[in-house]
Amino acid sequence: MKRWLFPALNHLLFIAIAVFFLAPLTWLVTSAFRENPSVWVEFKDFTLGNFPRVLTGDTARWIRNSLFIALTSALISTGAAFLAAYPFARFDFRGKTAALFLLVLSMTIPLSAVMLPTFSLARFLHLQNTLFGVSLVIAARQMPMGIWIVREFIASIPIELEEAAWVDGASRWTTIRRIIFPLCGPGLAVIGLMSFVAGWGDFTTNLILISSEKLYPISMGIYKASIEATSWGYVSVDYGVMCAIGMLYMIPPMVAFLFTHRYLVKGMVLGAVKQ
Amino acid sequence: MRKRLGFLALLMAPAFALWATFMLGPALWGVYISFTNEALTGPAAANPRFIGIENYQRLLHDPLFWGSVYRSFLFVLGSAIVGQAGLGLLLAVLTSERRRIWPRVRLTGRLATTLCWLAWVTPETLIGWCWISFLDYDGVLNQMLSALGLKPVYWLVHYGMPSIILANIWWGTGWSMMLFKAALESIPREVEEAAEVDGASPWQRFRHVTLPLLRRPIGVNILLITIWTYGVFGLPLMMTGGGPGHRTELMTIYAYKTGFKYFEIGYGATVSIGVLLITLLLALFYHRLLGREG
Repeated sequence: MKRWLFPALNHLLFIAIAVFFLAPLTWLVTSAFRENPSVWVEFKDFTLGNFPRVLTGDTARWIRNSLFIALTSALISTGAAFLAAYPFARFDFRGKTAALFLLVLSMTIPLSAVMLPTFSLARFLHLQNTLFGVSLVIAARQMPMGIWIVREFIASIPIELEEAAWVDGASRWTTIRRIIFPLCGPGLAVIGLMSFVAGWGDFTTNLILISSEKLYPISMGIYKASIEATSWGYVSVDYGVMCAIGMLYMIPPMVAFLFTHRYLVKGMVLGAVKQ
Repeated sequence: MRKRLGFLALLMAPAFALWATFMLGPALWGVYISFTNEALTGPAAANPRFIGIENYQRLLHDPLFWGSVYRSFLFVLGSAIVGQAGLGLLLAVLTSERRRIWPRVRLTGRLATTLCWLAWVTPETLIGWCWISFLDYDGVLNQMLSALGLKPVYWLVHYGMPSIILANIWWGTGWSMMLFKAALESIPREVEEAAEVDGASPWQRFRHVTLPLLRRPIGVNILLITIWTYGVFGLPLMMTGGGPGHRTELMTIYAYKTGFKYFEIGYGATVSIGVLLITLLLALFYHRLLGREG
């Protein structure tokens, strides 16, 4: 009896879990493909017409703003983390352990615990209500993880490669540019993708820094639409377009995490696994 | 030598400037403004005054704050420790390719883990959007209930805490699952094979061989997701906004409301220090666990 009972129970459990993870998405997915969807899940009036409409009007601007935040924070954090990781990988200097300790510690500070001072600071630096200010905050928050991961990549590059170049008279800066940079390309891609996703999906930074609707990224657009929908009813929100942009919104992080989640797991915990 | 130090400093300067300004800076500034009466409007907005520990005295006697501490604790316990770690471990163990603790069930297992992963990569506000559509009075869950002839329920109003806990389990389980899977793969196969040769049942093998070896990654991960979950803000803000009344008001939401809704920046920062302190304590612990390896 056990021979069929266990697999059957196992199947059942998996299906129940799958239903749990699928259920909240059903309305989003069906409505994205429906003409004038209501709050109900219905399987009729299917169309692809919502998707082209996403690329016009407010939603187009949201996408542009989200892209800007994601790209600039990716560029800034990748560049800064790469440069800073080199000394951590190749040198022993006073205060290195302390610096790494502070980095790991700061990695855990949630943005929601420093919302008010971040807001005050941005106001003070005249970065409030600018997309660039949002990018800077996001890029800064990627620094610890970024330095941590790139450091591992650089440390795995044999120093002999650099030494050979130094013997030939190359400077350190040259070997960093010509040898280290190309060889830790994958590491930089991981940081870049991570920051891109962080910028693309960010909500809290935008909520505290952005007040002008012109500068709303997708997250703020969805937030405001959900407030409108729940307070004045569904007539005030174009559900078809909102669900279509919601589906498009998921694609970049899906693609990015396919490549990066292994490194994330490694960086955050697996150091603690191999004893 | 001096030149080399200058070069190192130059390399680290951009990252350090960013990190010091936007990560360390706000934390320190937060400590400072928690000792002032800074506000967004009114006379205190123009020139905030240093008021010593007044805010902290107020915090100690603020039932709303202690209520939010309790709710945050429940939120962490329910969604991170029981929900994400529990469900994540279950999924990781049951779908692990390498050890046959359970008979393998490929297709449905793949489906469950893929959907779980998909939920984890979904941006925060979209999760809020989806869960509102699911739990709203006119939402999918009530549509299913009424199809079964049952009465609809105001889930987000009458079951606010369970709703946000469930949504957060939905969001975060993917991370724990991936992590536990990676940890499982790192256990040498021989260990379990030896137990199998000795005649241990699948459950015994899991309970007495695999689980003890997983203790450390499980511990580190629980610490990590506890830290993260204390900081969760956008999703519950969107789903319930702390309401009805204060019934789902987590620490982060209370801090946000104090600062940005009631415009008391000084006191709001003081509330945030509560979140910060809990986080830092846990983070020190996390660093010790992580650092033991060198």
